[in-house]
Amino acid sequence: MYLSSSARWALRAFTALVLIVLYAPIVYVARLSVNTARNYAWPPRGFTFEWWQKAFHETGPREALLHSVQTGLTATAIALVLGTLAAFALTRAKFFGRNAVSLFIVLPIALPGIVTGIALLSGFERVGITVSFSTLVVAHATFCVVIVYNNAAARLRRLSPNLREASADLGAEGWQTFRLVTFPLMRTALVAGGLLAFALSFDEIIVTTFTAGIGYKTLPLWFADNFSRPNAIPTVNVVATFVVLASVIPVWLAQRLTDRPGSAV
Amino acid sequence: MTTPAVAARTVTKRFGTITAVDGVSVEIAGGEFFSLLGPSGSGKTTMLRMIAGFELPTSGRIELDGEDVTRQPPFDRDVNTVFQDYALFPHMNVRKNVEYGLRVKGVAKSERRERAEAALHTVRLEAFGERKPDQLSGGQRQRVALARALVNEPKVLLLDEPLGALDRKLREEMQLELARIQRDVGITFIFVTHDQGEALTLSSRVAVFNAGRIEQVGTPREIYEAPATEFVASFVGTTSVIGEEAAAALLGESTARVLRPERVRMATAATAPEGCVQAPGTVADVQYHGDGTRVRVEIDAGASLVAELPNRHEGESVPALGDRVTVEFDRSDLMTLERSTSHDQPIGEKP
Repeated sequence: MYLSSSARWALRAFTALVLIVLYAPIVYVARLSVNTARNYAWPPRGFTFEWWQKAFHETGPREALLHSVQTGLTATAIALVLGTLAAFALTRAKFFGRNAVSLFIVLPIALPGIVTGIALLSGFERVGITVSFSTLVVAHATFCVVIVYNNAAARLRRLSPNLREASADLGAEGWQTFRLVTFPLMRTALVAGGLLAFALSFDEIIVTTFTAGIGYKTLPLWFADNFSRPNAIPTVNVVATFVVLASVIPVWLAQRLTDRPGSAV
Repeated sequence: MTTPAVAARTVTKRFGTITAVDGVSVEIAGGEFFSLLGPSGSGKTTMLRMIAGFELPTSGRIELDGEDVTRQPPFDRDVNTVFQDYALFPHMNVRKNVEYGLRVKGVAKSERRERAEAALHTVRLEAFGERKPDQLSGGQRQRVALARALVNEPKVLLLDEPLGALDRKLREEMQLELARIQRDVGITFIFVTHDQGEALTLSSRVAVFNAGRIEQVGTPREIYEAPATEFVASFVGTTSVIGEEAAAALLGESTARVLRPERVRMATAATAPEGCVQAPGTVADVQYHGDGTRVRVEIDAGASLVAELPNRHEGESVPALGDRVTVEFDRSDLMTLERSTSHDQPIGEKP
């Protein structure tokens, strides 16, 4: 595509502006986490690791982080199994109502969290289940499945059906074909889908509010409880910075795995 | 007669309302290079897929060495396939691809390695074992696909338009290569192609498919020189058809006859020599193609004759469009079709 040099510069400037708007607040929070003052005032003053040390010894954020990881991992594990099975069923078999089923699987990601949350809560109460860790996992799995399903289905659709036939032709039975051909070829899609699903679960707050129960605080819930309390401000900044740094890893991994030339089949 | 390596017994395959293969019976002897030739949609690939076990016939039987395998899954059949798009496993290197069939059958690693090496040697790719398929050219992938199938020492090797994706030069090289390999390993090859030249060059016998049925089975020479139907005559090489009326006017007998372009020449004498027929007409088309010029003449008797004139001398006069000319051919070169095309399928049209 040809662009005049002024258009090119305008686009560059605009891109830079968007990135600044996106990232400046995050950098600001990171800077505040080593600020000597315990407020959001500008300009930040001094430099200290005091808050990092304190935050490290506080049980609240640590427990919340642990809960978030637990929830995310369990929901992702469920999503990987169900999403992969659904992807196989919907890409390989033809049956009545296939498109409808596909729509119903994908829909939860488009539903407003507040609707999902309220619906699940009233549903659980209706059948007499007290909301707790397990209900939270089920709630998160509803949208984690979508991510895994989409990734797995996209990959399966791109795989030539001839590969399966070639495998069978060479003497492999169904399970051998899955183990030696299909699964290795969809592995990167599953890893990428799993990472994204985990990330989605990790920062989910709306559905979580309704389905976690009173005693079970995930990290987003802990933030919501603490970010307006003056005493907690430095800790909130530290935890936020920590989470940002930690979340770079899975996102980077996911990108690498999905972009790798070998993964395109 | 000995048991055929492959036999189809009145095999029919329907997909919904479409009949892809319509009551085909054929016997293929061990060690043959047998081609299924036909236009796309004629049922030849479906036939191959039923022999491989990817499709279940709607009715009829498939036999391998006399044993009914109609309902056997592909992994239980002693046949291997070379796919049109090669279907190499992209996550495995060449050696692992070739070893695959032995691996799933539980052959020990050292023997596997040895046989894969031998198969790669057969297709002249010894040095490429560690490459991934996406680091190979089309022709090399083709050879890997061949080695991957041959390493299993199948009774029958099925090849589905294996040269279709190659450019012309490579195609001709691979044709020679295929013929050599088939001679060396002595396995029965069943080769699907829409390229009549390829089928004639490679095969010991050819089955010409049209609209789900076999029009004719025979050696390349039989197919070319004695086509059984108008379809075979026109699909295998170019043919001029002299219809009943034109034949009556020109030959004094009202039977439709066909004629190959290389048998038609420009008349040099004023009257027809003994055993020859002359036909005046108007040049309707001239095509130059290097080694020859193809001239289509609308003869006054009411037929369209194509003449293949060799390009011999520079400056030799070639008829131009609209010229009045007289063409000539030997009466003995006229071919009679055994039967008209066996069903109501217009020639050249897909079912």
